[in-house]
Formats: sequence, structure tokens, C-alpha cells
Amino acid sequence: MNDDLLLDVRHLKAYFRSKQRTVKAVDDLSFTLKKGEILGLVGESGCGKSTTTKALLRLIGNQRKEYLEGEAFFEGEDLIKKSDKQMQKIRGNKIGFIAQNPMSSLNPVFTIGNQIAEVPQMHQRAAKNKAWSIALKMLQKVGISDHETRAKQYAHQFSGGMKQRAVIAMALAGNPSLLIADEPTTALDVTIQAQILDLMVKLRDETQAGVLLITHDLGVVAEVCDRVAVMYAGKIVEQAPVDELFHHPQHPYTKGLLASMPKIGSRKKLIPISGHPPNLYEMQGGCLFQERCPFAFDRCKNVEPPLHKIAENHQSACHLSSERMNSF
Amino acid sequence: MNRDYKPFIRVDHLKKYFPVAKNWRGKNSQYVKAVDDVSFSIDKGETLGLVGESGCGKSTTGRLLLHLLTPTSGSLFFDGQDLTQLSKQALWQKRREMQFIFQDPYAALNPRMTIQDSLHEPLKAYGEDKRTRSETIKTLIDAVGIPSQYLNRYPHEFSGGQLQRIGIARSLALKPKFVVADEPVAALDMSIQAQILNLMKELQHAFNYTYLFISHDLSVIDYMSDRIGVMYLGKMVELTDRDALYQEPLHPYTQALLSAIPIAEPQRSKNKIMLKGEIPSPVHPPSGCHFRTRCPFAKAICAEKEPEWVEMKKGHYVACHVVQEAHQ
Repeated sequence: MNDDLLLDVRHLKAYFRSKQRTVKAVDDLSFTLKKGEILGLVGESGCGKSTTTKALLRLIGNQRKEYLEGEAFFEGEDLIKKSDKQMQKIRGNKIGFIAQNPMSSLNPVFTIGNQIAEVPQMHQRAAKNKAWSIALKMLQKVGISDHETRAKQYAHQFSGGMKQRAVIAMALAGNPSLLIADEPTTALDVTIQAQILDLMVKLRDETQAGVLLITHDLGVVAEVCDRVAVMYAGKIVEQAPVDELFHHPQHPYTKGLLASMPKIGSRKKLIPISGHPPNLYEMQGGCLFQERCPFAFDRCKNVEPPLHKIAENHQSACHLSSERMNSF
Repeated sequence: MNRDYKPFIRVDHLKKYFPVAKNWRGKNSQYVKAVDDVSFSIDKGETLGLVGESGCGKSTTGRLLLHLLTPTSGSLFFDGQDLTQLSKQALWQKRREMQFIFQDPYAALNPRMTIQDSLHEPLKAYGEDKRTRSETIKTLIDAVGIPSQYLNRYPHEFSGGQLQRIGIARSLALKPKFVVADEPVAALDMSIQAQILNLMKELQHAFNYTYLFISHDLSVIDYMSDRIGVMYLGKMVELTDRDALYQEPLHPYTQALLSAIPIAEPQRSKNKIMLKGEIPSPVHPPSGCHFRTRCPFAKAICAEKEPEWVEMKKGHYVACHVVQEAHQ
């Protein structure tokens, strides 16, 4: 097996069931992530990108109404088959998690330093004072000035950007080889967002951790990611290196997203994608994008297009792009 | 230019202070200067964009313009009349011509009223009879692209994009002349965002609306506006045409803001102006120029004196000591 391979997700499915219906939030998802690589997972709300992260962290799948299937090999071991106890040792240790809202990932009644020190105390059985010095080191690493005083302060004394830095420090305290960041900058202002993204790239360069970055913002993807997977209605519809995706998008949905994005300095009229995303519980056969697709034809109604390799490292789930390949 | 030329909307030295603390006598002792000495004008049929980070006072400015908040001082001319001097009754009549489009379409519509009833409400308030109301609503709902058979549905039966269309229809029901749109697309997905932006442009074209368009997203502002004002901590720091703002931004904050925006263009040079630190608290803003604590060009004078609002070139206003010195 490839040594660089950090995460190998195969046919991941996550369904939510109720009496009347089943919501296929993530449906047959496969992707890989290498060491030191930043993979962007983009899509609109409800496309299953956050459910993917929750499934990988096994935060769902434990209840009767939740259904999880597939394989997710992390450093050679299948996360989906792990017991709860085994997962507890991995979460926060080998896999760090950065959530969207830094306020809700920090405990208001413990000092920031304490919360970071908890990570080495839990996972490496570090003594209290050693854990504290690790916490200080982490705060320094994420660029919090005056970190010794700051470590003794509480979350409400931190501003939004500082809180997100603290959350990143916490995620890094276990020295993770995989970092999952779910919309890490969505709650922040642009100038602060630029600082945090810069920090994440810098930390990736230092630690060589793999980063799975969930975002809805194609601009963020273009700035920091190496590779991109575009999700639509629970499936990956296109996957490619960042330059390739932005310059030669193949799937009509990716093309639509790029055309509907306002660009500074461009006078071109935006071309929106018509309609709205499908309900995940009322899915009919065939391609899920067909109703909104300007190029849809008969085959799209009946046959679901598989994720097709169209070039080295470039895959697209569209009948048109596979047809074009066959005609060559 | 015509000497007695009167802009459609003129704002002079507008201020709004909110009390945040009281002293032991129960008198207000501390204030947030949400909007602090802002002056600008808007021509008929024009779109003025207001951009800035959270807490810069852009929403407060929007609310002040419709006189939803009473300004602490300053004057506000709408169509030649000073709104601050009008009686309650006269203001109520004037309000017919000014409307608001809200950020969150879910919160803006009453969940217990069908959208038909919600749309009838503003027209009823201004005493339109039932038949004209129904007719107006039919044309409106048609103009925003909602099928008229949906009129008897409740808000929860619609998607976010559809609700925003309905919200826009309601704002336009009274045929206003001036519309303040406060982050109308911030809650929407990318593909839906483009639909709404295009709709707002088409409606403006058809009915010659004047917009004040508020957003934190510079690329959205750039797409929508004729002129753009940049705000920072209650002050307007730069105001000019959208082309000039993009091609030669003068104020260091505008430059940093433009460079901080993630652009969906992977090979763009990544020479960013990274701002240090975070936005200071508006209760205790820095002395002199509010931006000096984060400004890469700050000098001694910036801490001592507030920069004046000066027209550097025709129609290009800047408040910055450094820029003004360089020009002399």
C-alpha cells in the first residue's frame, strides 16, 4: 500500500431513518487523503459534507435511527469498525477536529489553558505541569501573543479569531496526523479569516498532517487546498487537483458553481444554477443533478453516472464527460 | 455641474451612539459609537454598497437611513426632506417610499401566516382595497418568480432562496423608491445567491429603485454597486466608484480588505497584506485614526488627530493621514 496514504474512505454511507422515510445524507462516498495534503470538500448546505466528518469521527452511527456503512482506513485501520472506546483514544489525539463555531467548542467555565492541557493529560497521561507547558507551547504556536497570561483566561475574554486559534491549538495538542476542519473560518471576518487560513497552511507545512477542509466557499478552496472534491446531494460529483478543477471543470454542477460566483472586477452577469437542491428523501433514479442541469438528456433520467476517471487525478460523475472520453 | 443639484438621499455628519453603561447616578456614561460622523449621498436609481467587517456600523447606518433608529445627531435628507424633522404622521407616510430587505428570510416572515397574508399586510396598512391588493400581489409574485399557486402556503414549505424572493416581493409591494438591503444573500447558498442578486438587479432596472446594499462580502458588493463605501469601527474610511475602489484603493484598510478576500483563482499571486491583530472594541476605540492599531503605515500623527474626510479626486473620498500627506 502507498505509504503516503493517510485516509482512504471507500463507499461510505450514512443514512438517517425515521418511520416514514430515509434520508441518504452521505451516499457511497469514496476519497483519499495523503500526508501533508489539504483536501477541500465543497458543496452547498445539506449536501452531506458535515455528515461525512461526523461519520469519520464516528459521532453518528451509534443510534438505531442512524445507519453507517462502508470503510474508512485511517493509517491502515478501519475507523468504521472501531469500538467506542477505541474511537475515544483516536478522537482528539490522532485526529484533531476544528468546528465551525469556536464559542461552542470551548467550555466557558474552564480556562483556555486548562482545556488545552486536558488533551495531553487524557491521551498521553502527561503530568499536570507538563501538560500545562504543552498547552503554553501550543498557544504560542498558533500565534497568541502574551500566551502565559492568555492561558489563564476564559473563553469570553477571547475575541472570535483568538477563540478559533485556541480551538486549533487544542486540536493540535494531541499531535494529530489528520486534522478535520468543518467550516473553520465561516464565523470569522475576512481579515481574520485570512490570518486563520494562513496559520493552517503554516501548521500543515510544519507538522505534515493531512487536512480535510470542509467549506462552502470556493475562494477559500482556491487559496489553501491542494485537491478538491465537490459534493452534491450526498455524493462526490467531481474530484481534481485545485488548478485543474478551477480551470477545467467537467461536471455541470462545478461549472455552475463557478459561474454563479461574483468575482471582483468582473462585469460579467452571473449565471445562476436554476432550481434548488433536491430533497434527500425524495430521490428518484438517475443523476441527482438532472433537474437543474442545462445539458440533461435521456440517459441522465435512468442511469446514475458513476464517478468516472477523465484524466490523471481527475474524476467526474457525469454521462457527458465520460462520453467525451469514450469518443477520443 | 448643475448648481442646485440635489442628491436623492443625503446624509450629513450622521451619528448614532448606543449607551452601554451607567454611572452611579444612573446616567449613561459609556457609549458604543456605532456610527460616528458619516456623510454621503445617493443618487436616484443608483446602488451604494456599504462594506465592512462585523461591528463596523453598516447595519446601523442602514437602519438610520430608514429612520428605524433615531440618530444621535446629524441630518438625513430623503427626496429633499429632512427625515429627522418630520412629524410621526409625516414620517409614516414617507416610509411608504422606503423599504428594507432583511438578511434572514426565515425570521422576516411570520411562520403562522400564509405568504399571501404576509404580502397583504403592508398594502393593508396603507389602506389599499382588496382587489388592488390581490392584483399587486399577483404581479409581484410573478416578478420575483414564485408560482401563484404557492400563495396559500406557509413559510416552512419554502426553501431559503424562495423565502428571500417572497421577502423581496413584500418589501417592494408598496412600490418604494428607496430600498435598504441588509446582507440579503448572506444566509443563502452560492447557486441561490446568484439568482437573488440577478433578481434584485432586474427589478432595479425595471422600476428604477435606489438601493443601499449592505454586505460583508466585497465580491457581492462589487457585483451590485455603482459606488462603494468602506466602513471601519463606525467611521467611513473610503468612498468611491466601484472601478476606482478595485483598481486603486487608497485607504490601507481597503487595500487589506481587498487582499484578504479569498479569490477563486488558484494561480493568483499570493502576496497578501496580512493585518495584525483584531478589530478593537467600539466602546474604547483607539485615539486619532481608529485603524491605526492595525495599520502597516501608521505614524505619530495618526494617534493624535482624527483624519479628515477629504475628496482626493473627483468623487473619491478618503479619511487617512498617510494618503493625504502623500498627495500634498
